Amino acid sequence: MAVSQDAQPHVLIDKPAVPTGAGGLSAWKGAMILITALLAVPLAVIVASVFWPDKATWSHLADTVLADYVINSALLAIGVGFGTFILGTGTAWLLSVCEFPGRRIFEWALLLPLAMPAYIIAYTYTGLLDVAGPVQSGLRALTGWSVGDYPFPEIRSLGGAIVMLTLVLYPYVYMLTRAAFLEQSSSALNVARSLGLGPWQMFRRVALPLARPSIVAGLSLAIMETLADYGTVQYFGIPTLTTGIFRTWFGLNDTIAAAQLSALLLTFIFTVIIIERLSRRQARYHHHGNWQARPSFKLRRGPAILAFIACALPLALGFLVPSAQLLAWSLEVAPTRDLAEFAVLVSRSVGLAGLTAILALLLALFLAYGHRLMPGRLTFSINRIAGMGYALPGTVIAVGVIIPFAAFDNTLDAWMREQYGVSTGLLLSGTVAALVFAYLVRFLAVSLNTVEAGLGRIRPSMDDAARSMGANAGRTLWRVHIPLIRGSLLTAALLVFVDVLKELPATLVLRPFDFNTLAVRAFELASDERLRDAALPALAIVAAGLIPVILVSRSITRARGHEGSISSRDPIDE
Amino acid sequence: MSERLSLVDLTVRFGRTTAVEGVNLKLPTGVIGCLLGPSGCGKTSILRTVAGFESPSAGVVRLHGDTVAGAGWGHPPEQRRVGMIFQDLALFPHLTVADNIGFGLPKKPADKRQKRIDELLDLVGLPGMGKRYPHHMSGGQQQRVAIARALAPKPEILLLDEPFSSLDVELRETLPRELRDILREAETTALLVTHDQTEAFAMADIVGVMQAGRLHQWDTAYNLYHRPETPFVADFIGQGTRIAGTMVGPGRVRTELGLLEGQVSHEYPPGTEVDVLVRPDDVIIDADGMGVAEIEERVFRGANFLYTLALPGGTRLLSLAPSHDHYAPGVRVNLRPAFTHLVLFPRGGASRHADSDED
Repeated sequence: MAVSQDAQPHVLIDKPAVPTGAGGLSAWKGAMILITALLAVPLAVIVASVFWPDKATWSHLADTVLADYVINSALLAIGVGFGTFILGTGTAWLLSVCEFPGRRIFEWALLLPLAMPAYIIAYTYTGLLDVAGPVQSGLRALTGWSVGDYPFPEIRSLGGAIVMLTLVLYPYVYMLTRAAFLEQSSSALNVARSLGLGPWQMFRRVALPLARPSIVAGLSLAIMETLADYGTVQYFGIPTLTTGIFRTWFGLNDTIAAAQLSALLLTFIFTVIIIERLSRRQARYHHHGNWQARPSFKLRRGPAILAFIACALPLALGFLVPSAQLLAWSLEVAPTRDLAEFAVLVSRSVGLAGLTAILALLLALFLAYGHRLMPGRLTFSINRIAGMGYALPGTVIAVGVIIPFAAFDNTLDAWMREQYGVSTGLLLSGTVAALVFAYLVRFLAVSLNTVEAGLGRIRPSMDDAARSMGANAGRTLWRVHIPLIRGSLLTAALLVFVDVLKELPATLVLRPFDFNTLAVRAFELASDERLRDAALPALAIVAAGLIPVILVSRSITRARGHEGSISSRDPIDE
Repeated sequence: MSERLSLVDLTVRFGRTTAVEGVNLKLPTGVIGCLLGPSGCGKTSILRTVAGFESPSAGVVRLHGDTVAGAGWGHPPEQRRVGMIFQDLALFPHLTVADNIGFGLPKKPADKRQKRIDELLDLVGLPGMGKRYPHHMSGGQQQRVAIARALAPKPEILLLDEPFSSLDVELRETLPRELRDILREAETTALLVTHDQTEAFAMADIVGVMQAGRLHQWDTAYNLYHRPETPFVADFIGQGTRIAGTMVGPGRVRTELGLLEGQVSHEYPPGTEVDVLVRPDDVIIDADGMGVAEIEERVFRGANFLYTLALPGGTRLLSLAPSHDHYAPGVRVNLRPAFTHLVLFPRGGASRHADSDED
């Protein structure tokens, strides 16, 4: 009886005589539209800026630095794309089909670099590889050379930035590609093996083509993060589009040109998104429910050592080494410093992140449940638009928030002075409210996707059952949905919390005067070459960043536990 | 008898698809009704419209005399006092059995609530199992919890959407009868939806046969079999074939089997071309002589054989015969009509009327 199920699972009841339902639902829908409209303001401002009159800054930029910005951003994206592809797919393949010592640990440990924000790893390596740093000092002590006797690569370069970003972004490719390898029909691989293909040929000729959509998805995430990066390139002094936006705004004091640069950056990002979508549409390989034993190659001696090194290197360079250095610096500095400042930083960061996480969770629940109550194209589009901010780099959102907020403040101030002779000054700009709004624009997608996925696992008959027993929509949400998806809700809140804690560029621009967070302080101290002082806040951010990594690796371990048993009866999502 | 549920000219559309078209039916209080039909016939849409999950595109739904839904509107499900049992049962996995049953009951007074829960656990034969969780129970037990949960708030009507489809074969034999006894004991009015005739006849007092959104007949099981009102009902319920005939007078039809006489389901003027429904027990195989019909196939059914017979004109008939005298395929036999009444349809198969609630 499929007639009713998919077409219209629920009714829209709208007859005036009905006491509840109609009014509540249309108010709900109205609120959804309003929320989404507000969240879309920054993007709309950036898009609109393309049509604003140019103050000659643009042609000045075009004559001078624009080409550098674009070329550097593009090289960075290509380099990181290449690097993450090699590291991500290589380790994913080794761990999917080869047996070697340490494999079980690498499976989750290779995700750890995700906890390391790029700007933090960048300055940590700068300290490590500096002329006075432990590596070069050790080299000199070992060889008896003195400074200048030997060539040493300069980390503060485009190549250095590519390596740094690759080391912390390859887990996106690794994670999605490994999942794709595991979902691949093992019979396809077994057939390939029976036809005489070795692991390398199997990888190149069967597994890689089959996993292409997932690889492209992982690469596009890595490249989007690269294009959005501000901290690393700023610290290394590389002129890119993101640093260009800052310079145009604060150096040249031209917000419009900054917005136009943002639009250019967005064009790059949306190109990546479109390429990803297109590649996904072309090929969707689904091979589910086939959990035969996967081909497994037991590696011995030489190959096993090579495989171990191939997995250990990204883990060590992307997480262990920089963490150890941060820890060493922190231990060195902590006893000599007043920890009160650090405590303030922590409480500010946690407060800000906690507030945003709760608001994002409430909004996500409101939007996702609204779509469930009123399925259809309108609510679907509303929620997709509300989640679009995730594609916007922090720098771009900062520009997109500050322009309308300042305009609002100025208009209100002028009007109030004219009418009442009172100056309201800056009501919204430079307040925590503006900052939280920017975070919501950027990170609502994270909680929205998580909540939607959780709700999606609850069968519609649950709603119907509750409704037929006299519970209205709100009560059903409270008594059925929320208890059933509390795991997803917690995850959603945690993910936003950590994202906010790590966020740098938007916080730098939008924070109230003299309002510091862990990320901002770490970056400022590092920029002032006070690397040791920056270590403690940086370490705190890395520690928080471990939370989502643990969540993800737990689900990976659990997925492994479920291999072999096709389904579980338990409909609870946790 | 008062009508608990009545549907008047109910039509339900989803976009361009018409799921239910012009359905009329009345379900008296305390009676168990059933909508029977192949998948996609619109029976679940009717159920969901009665429950309030869909709104009619035209027509009216009345519950206990109150109009609860009409064209484009309807009271929300939570205000209809309708109990529903879902195909997948939809038990809340985060609640104990007792909390599942108590979901639709007021929180206070707590002792009254507990008493009702215990009452229902007894009714469905699960006393003392309130503290368990649904996923720790067997399929049959879960089914009973779902019934208890739906009955707890004393609904005006209980709606059951393919309630046995998720059960294994053995339970599907026994549970319908058990469920019927439970509903009788609770004096419940119920409307069941199923595609399975055995379930329908085991549970329901009155059965409606549906096809392509239309209700063909709303009647007792006996009448559906013996007095089908449309060719579809005749084909869908029980076995049988139709043979061509011509009316020659009141209650007299000339066919390949000879002149048939008897009480007819509907009079047609002489000369009208009709189809006569032939059930397997309407023709008896006559052993003697080289007959007109050839045995084409026989299927052993234990106490009897079901024969497929071919008439010279190519028409095929079914006949049941005791299994002690049997005929091999290829044997020619004589047939003796044994009609108690004649079910006639106008030639061409068009139904005389799609639904019947005039009685």
